[in-house]
Amino acid sequence: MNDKPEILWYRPLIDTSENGAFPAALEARRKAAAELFLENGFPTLKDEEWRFTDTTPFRAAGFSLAGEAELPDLPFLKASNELRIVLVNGRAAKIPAELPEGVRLFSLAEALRRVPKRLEAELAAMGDGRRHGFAALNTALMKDVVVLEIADNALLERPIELLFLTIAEDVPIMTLPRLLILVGRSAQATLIERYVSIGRQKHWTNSVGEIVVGENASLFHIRVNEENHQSLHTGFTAVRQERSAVYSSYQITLGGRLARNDLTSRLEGEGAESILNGLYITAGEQVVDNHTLLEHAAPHTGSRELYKGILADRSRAVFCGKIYVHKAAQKTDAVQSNKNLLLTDEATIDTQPQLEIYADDVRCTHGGTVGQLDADALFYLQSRGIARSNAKRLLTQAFVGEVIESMPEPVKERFAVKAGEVLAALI
Amino acid sequence: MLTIRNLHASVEGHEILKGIDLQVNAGEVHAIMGPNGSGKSTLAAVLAGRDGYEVTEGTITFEGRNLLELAPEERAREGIFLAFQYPVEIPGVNTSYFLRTALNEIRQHRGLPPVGAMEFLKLIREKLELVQMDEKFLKRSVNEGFSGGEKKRNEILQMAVLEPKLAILDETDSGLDIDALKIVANGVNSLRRPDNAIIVVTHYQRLLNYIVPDFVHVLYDGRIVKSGDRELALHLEDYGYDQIKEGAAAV
Repeated sequence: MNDKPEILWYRPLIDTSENGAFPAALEARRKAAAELFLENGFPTLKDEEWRFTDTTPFRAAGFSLAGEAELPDLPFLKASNELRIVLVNGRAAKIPAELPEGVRLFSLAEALRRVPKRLEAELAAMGDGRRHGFAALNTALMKDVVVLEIADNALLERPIELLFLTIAEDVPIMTLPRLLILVGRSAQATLIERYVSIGRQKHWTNSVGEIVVGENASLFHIRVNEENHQSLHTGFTAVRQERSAVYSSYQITLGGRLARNDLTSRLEGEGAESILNGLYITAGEQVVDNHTLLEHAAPHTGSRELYKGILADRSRAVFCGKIYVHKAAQKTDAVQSNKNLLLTDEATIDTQPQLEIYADDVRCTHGGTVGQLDADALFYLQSRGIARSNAKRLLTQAFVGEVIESMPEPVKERFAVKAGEVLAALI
Repeated sequence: MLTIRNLHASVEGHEILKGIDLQVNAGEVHAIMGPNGSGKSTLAAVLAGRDGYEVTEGTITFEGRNLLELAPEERAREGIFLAFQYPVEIPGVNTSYFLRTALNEIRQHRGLPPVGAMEFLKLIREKLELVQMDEKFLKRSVNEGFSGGEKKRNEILQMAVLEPKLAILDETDSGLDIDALKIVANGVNSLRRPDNAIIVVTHYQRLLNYIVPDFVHVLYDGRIVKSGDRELALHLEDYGYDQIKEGAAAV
């Protein structure tokens, strides 16, 4: 019997988590994840995928599973013009009275009744426990699943926001958000998946998202971490793209003490394209670890990846981008880039591209840069009367601008402002 | 306006300026000429306050203030402008936004209200005409992808917008064809006023056919070895710097 502390801690939860409502196939997946977790626990520095990020904070103390909580009385939640679904401690708490045509939102129980076949095919199929022990734990305990379905040919002009609020308590709590997004054929949508803490106490968000982008559909997916600076975050997003589907991701990490994001995108259909953007702005003792995997599994698939980071103080970041090209994926066109700006001598970045290519007619390029603010540019701006602090702000905003610029119009301004605020605070 | 006395400056421990004296008054145009490596650009950099240039001796007074105590942005706000020999490309910073930010920081320093976007557009259109630049430049990132001539014209555009008391043109003519040179010179000439002054740092006499200086100084080995009027520049054009070098060696 494995006596890793996390296994001892969470075993009782897992032992009582059997879900009688699950069809056999789903229950089998849940059980497999449970077994994986009880066998291995969380990864450690000895695991290749985790060699830059110490997982000790996740096992230093047990986290209690978050209970139900009331929707907090916050002014910004009252705005009714937003298409926003609020979840408190992982559970849906506020849903717009009317969702746009072509959008359906289900709880797990509803989805089991209304779309059982789809659920059985997709839930925990990609986002299961094989990625790592954190995803295994989420899957073993999956209960509050948000299923969002976008109908074939639906063209959504307004972005949909899924706001995950955690009410931090004195006892550290764990939330297990779980998302299943099904985008129908030729549909188009923008989805914001946003994590915010209420309170300053330490908590842990351990999320899993599964996304299917249907044939010829286009999804903009903005995943943003604005949690407090004590919090831990592990987020695993698994995407699968059908023929000619376009998936544009923005993984934005502004908050958290330790955040690990895993994003895998499998380009299954010919002509599918993944555009993975990332932005991390870190300060203090923050650690942000982004692992991406682009799996080119069909011919003529393309990927564009751009992750950019600004690191202040003694903060640390990791970028590990893997591109895996299957033998069948001829004419793959993959471009990866990771650029970092270190504002202090103490900030550190580990950046690592990985290419694994089994097709012979492909184009795969990658590059990484680590630098400081351009001293010549700073002087140039100062010599025109611009204060040094403003000059730094201009240059850092310009640096993140490359990522923000390609965001869909309705959300661009909002994230430019947000990033600007975070930058202003650390300069 | 500007008084430089016995200025010594070093870069990485090497003394480049070895005792410069220069007096510039309002309304004057001074040309500083000299062969490569004589210290021309170092002088320009020290005036603008660039990092890495250490003043080891001497003083610079600008409008009664000790210039050496001021940060680069404070010098700019007091009215000093350096047109760079090699203007810096700043990707992602929009030219128009950059210029308005600079103008408003300078205006704030002078107790003037900020210029709004519309008002700025009106102002900048006039100035663009001066240097024959297209409005589309404003939407581009500062100097990014600009040709050499466009970069130099952008420097003069900035000078026109910021209206400095003392402009230092550091080899603004280098690498310009005659048409671009004329545009730049016309721009500069139209900004000449009785209450401002210009220091033209150049390697070539040619620019001085278009921006006519009141005084010409020859810089050699970190010192001003000869001063005169426009005739001195013409003389240099005919005889080169060799005579000056020989003269300096003899001393």
